[in-house]
Amino acid sequence: MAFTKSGLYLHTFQSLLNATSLTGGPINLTALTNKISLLSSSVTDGSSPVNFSTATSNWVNTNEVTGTNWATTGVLLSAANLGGSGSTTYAEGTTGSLRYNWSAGLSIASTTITGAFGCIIYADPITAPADLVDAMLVAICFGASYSTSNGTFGITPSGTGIFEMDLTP
Amino acid sequence: MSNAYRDKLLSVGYLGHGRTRDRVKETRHEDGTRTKATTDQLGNTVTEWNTPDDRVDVMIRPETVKAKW
Repeated sequence: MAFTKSGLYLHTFQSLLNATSLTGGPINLTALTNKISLLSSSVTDGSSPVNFSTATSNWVNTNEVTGTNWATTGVLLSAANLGGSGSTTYAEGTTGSLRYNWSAGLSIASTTITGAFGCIIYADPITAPADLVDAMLVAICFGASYSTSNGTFGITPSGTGIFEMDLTP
Repeated sequence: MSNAYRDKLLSVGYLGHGRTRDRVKETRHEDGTRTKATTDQLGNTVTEWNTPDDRVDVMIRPETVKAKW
């Protein structure tokens, strides 16, 4: 089976609403210290690290893609990486829905990356408990493999955000 | 009345709804470098440069992940 599905990690959002005690927390969706890592096409739907129903949503480096200027564990979703002065938001988007978004696209210059098929956004500051270390928030499937060579790797969010939760379906 | 030969002729060049092609845009910049930007059917763009290092840029445009509670 292939990697075809994007999704949110249930255990992470469950812990948010259950007020689970965290070291390095709380999980802050808008923190500029969250990170984004890349995945290869070897990832399989329903298997780590894209098993959205898992009870252990700690980030793992399984099938991670790294390269020049894209280090192991990924890059920070910092203001500098989000267009130079960007930020992240989590607020009402479509009426009745909470939207996670970036004010500017991610842009990392001078990269050489081979075979990026998807990405994971995760809460890097979380250091305990074990099942929530670097708690994964969302995985996104790109739908194909992409490679850079001494070039810019960028992600431009849709006008309707990176993800949106419809609380009033 | 059905005419198989006529139907075949009319189907030539026909693209069904929902089918799209990659879009290619070639640009010559002021400094003489040229780029070829190919946007695939997923909306993602790969830009190839004719620089000595054969630079390649990638811009991903993911669809919004939509969740319902």
